[in-house]
Amino acid sequence: MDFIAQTILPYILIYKYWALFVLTFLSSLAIPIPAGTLLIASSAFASQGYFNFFIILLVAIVASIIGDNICYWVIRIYGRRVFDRFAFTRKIMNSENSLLIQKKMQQQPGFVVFISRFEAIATLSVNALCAISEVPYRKYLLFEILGSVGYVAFYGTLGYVFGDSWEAVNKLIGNFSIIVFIILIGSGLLFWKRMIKKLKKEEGFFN
Amino acid sequence: MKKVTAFLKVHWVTIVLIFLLVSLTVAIKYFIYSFEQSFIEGELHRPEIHRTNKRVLLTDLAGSSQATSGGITLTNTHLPVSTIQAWMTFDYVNVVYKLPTNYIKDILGINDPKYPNVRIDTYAKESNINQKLLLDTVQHYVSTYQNQ
Repeated sequence: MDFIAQTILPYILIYKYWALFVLTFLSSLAIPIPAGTLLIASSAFASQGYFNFFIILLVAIVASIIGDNICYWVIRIYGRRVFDRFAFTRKIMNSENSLLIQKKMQQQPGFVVFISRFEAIATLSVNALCAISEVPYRKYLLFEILGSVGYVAFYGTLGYVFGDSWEAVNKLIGNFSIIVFIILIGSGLLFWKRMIKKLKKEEGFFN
Repeated sequence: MKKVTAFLKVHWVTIVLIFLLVSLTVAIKYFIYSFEQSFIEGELHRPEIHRTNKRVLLTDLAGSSQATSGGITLTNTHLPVSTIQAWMTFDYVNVVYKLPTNYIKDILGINDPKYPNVRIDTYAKESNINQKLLLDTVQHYVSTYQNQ
C-alpha cells in the first residue's frame, strides 16, 4: 500500500483525470497496476471534494472499455499466429478440451466476461480466451461494457462512501477477493474433468 | 480402510463441495469480522445519510471536505491533520482542508512555480529541507488555520 501511495497516487493528484484514464487503460492491457485500488482512492478523493465522482466513474469506464477492446482485438488478430509458432502452445490450443471450451465461449460468453471484469488476472485471461475463441464481437462488447460499468461502480461507490477510510476498505476487499479467487480457481481445477465431460455431452447434443 | 477408500471414491464430489462451501463461509465470516474490527479500531468510519431539503447528505464521521459532487453534498467536519502525508500535493491539502490557495505558499515562502501541483516530499527534496520537518510544519499550519 505504501508503494502505491507513494508512487502512483501522486500522479492522480497532479494529473487528475488524465492520470486515472491512462493508469486504468494500462491496467486493462495487463500491466500490473492496481486499478481497483486507484479507483477506490480516486473516489475517496472525490468524496473529499478533490474530484467529481461521476467524471471519475466515466473516465474509468471509458478507459477500461478501450483497454479491454484493444486487448481483445490484438489477440484476435495476432494471437493465433503467435500461439501456432510454438509447439507447446499449438498443442494446447488445438487439444480437444481447448476446442470444447472455445466453442462454449463462442456460444455463451456472457457470465464469464461480466464476472471477470472484477479481477485483473481474470480480465486478461478471459479477454485472451474470448479473442482466441473468436467470440462474436457484439456479444463480447455487450458483456464487457456491462462488466466494466459494474466493476467501476462497485469500487467507485466503496471509495466514495467510505471516504478517508479508503485504505482500510481497500485492504479488506483485497484480502477477501484473493480468498474468493483461490476458492473459485480451486473449484475449477477440482471439477475440471466433470466440466469437460459436460461440454462433451453438450457437443454431442449440438452435433 | 477399504471401506473408507471406497466411500471416498464414491462420494468425493460431495466431500469436496462441502469443503468448498465451508471455506467460502469461513472466508465470508472472516471478512465480516475484519470489517467489524476495522470499525471498532477506528480504521473505518460508518457513513451517515441525512436527508435535508430533498438532498442527500453523506457524512463521514471522521470528517470529509464539503463538496458538491453531482448533486450530492457532503458535510464537512475537520479531517485530522495527521492524515496529511508527504506524498500528497499542496493542491490536495488545500482542497481537502479548505485552505485558501496561497495560504501555505505565503506562510512557508514557497517559490516553486509548480505550486500547488507539487508533492510535499518533492518540494522538500528540491529545496533541501528535511522532509519530516516540512511535513510537521505543514500539519501545524493547517491545524492553526482549522482552529481559527
